Amino acid sequence: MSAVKKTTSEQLLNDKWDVVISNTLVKTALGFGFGVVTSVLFFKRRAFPVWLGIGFGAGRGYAEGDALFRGGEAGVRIVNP
Amino acid sequence: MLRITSARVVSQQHQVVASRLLHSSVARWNVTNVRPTSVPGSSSPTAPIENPTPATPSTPNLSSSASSGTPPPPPGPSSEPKKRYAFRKFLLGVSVLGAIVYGGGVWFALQNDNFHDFYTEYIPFGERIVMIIEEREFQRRFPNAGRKPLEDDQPRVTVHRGGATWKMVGDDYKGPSTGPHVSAVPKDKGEQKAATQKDIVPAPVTPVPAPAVASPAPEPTKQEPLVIKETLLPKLPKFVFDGTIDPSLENVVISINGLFTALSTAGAAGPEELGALAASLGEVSNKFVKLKAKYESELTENLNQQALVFALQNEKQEADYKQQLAAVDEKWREGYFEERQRIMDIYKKRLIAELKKFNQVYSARLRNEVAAANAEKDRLFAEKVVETVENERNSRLSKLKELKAAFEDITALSAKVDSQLEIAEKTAELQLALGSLTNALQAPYTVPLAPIIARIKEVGGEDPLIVAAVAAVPVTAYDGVLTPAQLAARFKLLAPEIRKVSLVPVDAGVAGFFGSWLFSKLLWKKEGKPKGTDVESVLARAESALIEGQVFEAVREVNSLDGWRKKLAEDWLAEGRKRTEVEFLARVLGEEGKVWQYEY
Repeated sequence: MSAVKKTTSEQLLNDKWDVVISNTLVKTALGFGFGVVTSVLFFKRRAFPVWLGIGFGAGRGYAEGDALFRGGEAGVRIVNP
Repeated sequence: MLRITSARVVSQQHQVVASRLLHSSVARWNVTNVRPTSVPGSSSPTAPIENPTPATPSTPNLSSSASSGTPPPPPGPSSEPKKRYAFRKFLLGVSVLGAIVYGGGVWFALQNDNFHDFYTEYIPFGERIVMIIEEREFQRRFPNAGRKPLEDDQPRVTVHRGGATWKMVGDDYKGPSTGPHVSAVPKDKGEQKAATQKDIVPAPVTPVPAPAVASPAPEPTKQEPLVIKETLLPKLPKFVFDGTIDPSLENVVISINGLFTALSTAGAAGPEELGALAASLGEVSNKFVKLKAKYESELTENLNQQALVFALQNEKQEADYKQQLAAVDEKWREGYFEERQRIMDIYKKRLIAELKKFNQVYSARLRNEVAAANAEKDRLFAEKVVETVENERNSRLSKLKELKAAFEDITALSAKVDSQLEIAEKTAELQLALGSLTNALQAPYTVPLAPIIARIKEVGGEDPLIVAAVAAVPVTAYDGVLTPAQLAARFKLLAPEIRKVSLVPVDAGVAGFFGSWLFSKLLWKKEGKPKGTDVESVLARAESALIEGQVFEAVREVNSLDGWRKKLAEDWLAEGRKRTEVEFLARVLGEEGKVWQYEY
C-alpha cells in the first residue's frame, strides 16, 4: 500500500474545499494578528486596523480559493483562450 | 475591544473653545439676553459672564449699520439712463457675439464634415451661406469648369514661354507685324557699313601686287605704273646665290634684283625692268620646253629597247616551262601505272583468302547437319524402345500409379481429420475459456481477468478476430472489473457529490460552488426514468439502469454530463467503461466461438 492515498474523482471537490477553508482560516487569523499588532503599535489601540486585517486576510483567502476553484494556481488567473 | 480614552479629553477641549467663542461674540455684540451655557461635568475655569454694560467704548462701526437694520434705498431717477444704455449695450453685444459665432460656425462647417452636417441641418440659413461660399471657392479654383471644350478646328492663340504683354495701339493698328523682329539688323545696312570702313582707310591697299605682276607678262604695255608713298616703300632684299646657278636663271635673278632695286629706290617699277624680267622668264621657259622634248624622245627610245629585250626573255622562259611540264607529266603517268598494279595485287590476295574461308565454313555446317541427323536417329530409336517397353508393362505400371494416388488421398484425408480434431479441441478450449470469462464477469466479486485473457489468447491462435479482441481489452481490466453491484454502490457515493455541483456555473469560483451546494439542497430528487437533460433526471435514469443491471446504459447517461459533474464522475466512468468494454469483447469472443463450432 502506498503512503499517499489515491483520491477518487468524487473527492476532488471535497479536497479542494478543505484546502480553501483551511487557507482562508489561516489567512484570516494572520490578518487578525497583523491588525492587532498594527493597532497597538501605530494606531493607539483603535479598532479599525484589526477589522482591516481580518478583511485583508479573509479577502486573500477568498481570492485564492476562487483561483483554486477556477482551475489555475492560486494567484494566477487563467484567461479563456 | 479597545476603548479610546482620549475622546474625553478631546470633548473637553471642544467645550473650552466653544465657550471662548461665545464670550468673544457676546463681548462684540453687546447682547444683554445671552445666558452663559453650563457644561455638565466640566471643570474648566469658565468665568461667569458679567452683564455687559449697555454702552461700551469699543463699539465698532458695524453696530451703527447693525442698529439701523435696513438697506440703503436704491437711487431713483438716475437708474433709468443706465438701464437704457445697458439694454442697448446688451443688444449690441448679443448681435456681435451672434455674428461672430455664426461666422465661426460657417467657417468651421467648411473645415469639418461632421460639423458641416450638423450646421446645415440645424442652423437657419446655414446651408445657404455655406453653399454660396463653397460655390465661390469652386469657381475660383476651376474657372473653366462647366464651359464647353474648344473644338480643334478653331484658330488658337499660343503664348510662348516668355509670356505675352500688352501695349496700347491706336485706331490704325493693322494687326501683328509679319516682318522681322523689331531689333533685327537689315542686310543693306551691313554692306553700307563695310563700304564706309573702306572709305575711312584708303591708304594701305596691297603693298605688293604679285598677281598683277604675273598676269601681264605678255602684255607689259597695259601695266600701270605703281605709285607708292615714300613712307611705305618696302625694303626688298636682293637675291644672292652662293653657288653656281644656271645662266638663264641668272638672267631672271638679275632682272628681279633690278626690279627690287627700282622699287626700293624710286618706288616705281617701269616697264623696262618688267620687260627685262619677262624676257628672261620667257627665255627660261623656252629652254625648259626644249629640254623636255629632248628627254621625252630619249625616253621613248629606251622604252622600245627594253620592250625588245623583255620579249626575248619571255620566249625563252616559255620554252623552259613547256619542258618542265612535259617532264612532270611523264613522271605522274609512271606513278599512276605502278599504283594501279599494286592495288590489283592486293585485291587478288583478299579474294583468295575469302574464298578459302567460305569453303571452311560451309564444310563445317554440312558436318553439323550430319551430326544432328545422327542424333535424331538415335533419339527416335530410344523412343521406340521405351514405347515398346511401356506397352509391355502397361498393366503393372498403371496399377502402381493408382495405388500411389489412392495413398495420397488417404494421407490428405487423415491430415484433414487431424486438423478438424484440432479445431474441435481448440473450439472446446475456447468455449471453456470464454465460459470462464463470462463467469468472471458475472461473479459477485472482482475476479482478475489476466489469466483468462492469456488463456483465450493461447487458444485463439492466429484467428484475427480473437487476436484483435484480446488486444482491445484495456490493460487496467487485467486486474478485474467491478461488478454491477459494486458500480451501483459506488454510484450511490457519487450521486450526492454530483448533486452538490449540479448548479455550478461555468468558470465558477468560491461563491459559485458554495451557491451550488446550498441551492442543490432545494432541488427535487427524481426517481425512475424521467425524461430531461437536467442533472437530476440523468442521475435518476442512471440509477434505475444500474438497478436493472444495465451498466452500458448507466455509463451512457453519466457520460452525458458535462463540466464539473463529469469531472467528479471520471473515475466511476472509467470503471464503468472498463466493465462495458470487457462485456462487449466477451460477447464478441462468444460469437467467434460459435463461428468456430460451425466451421467444419
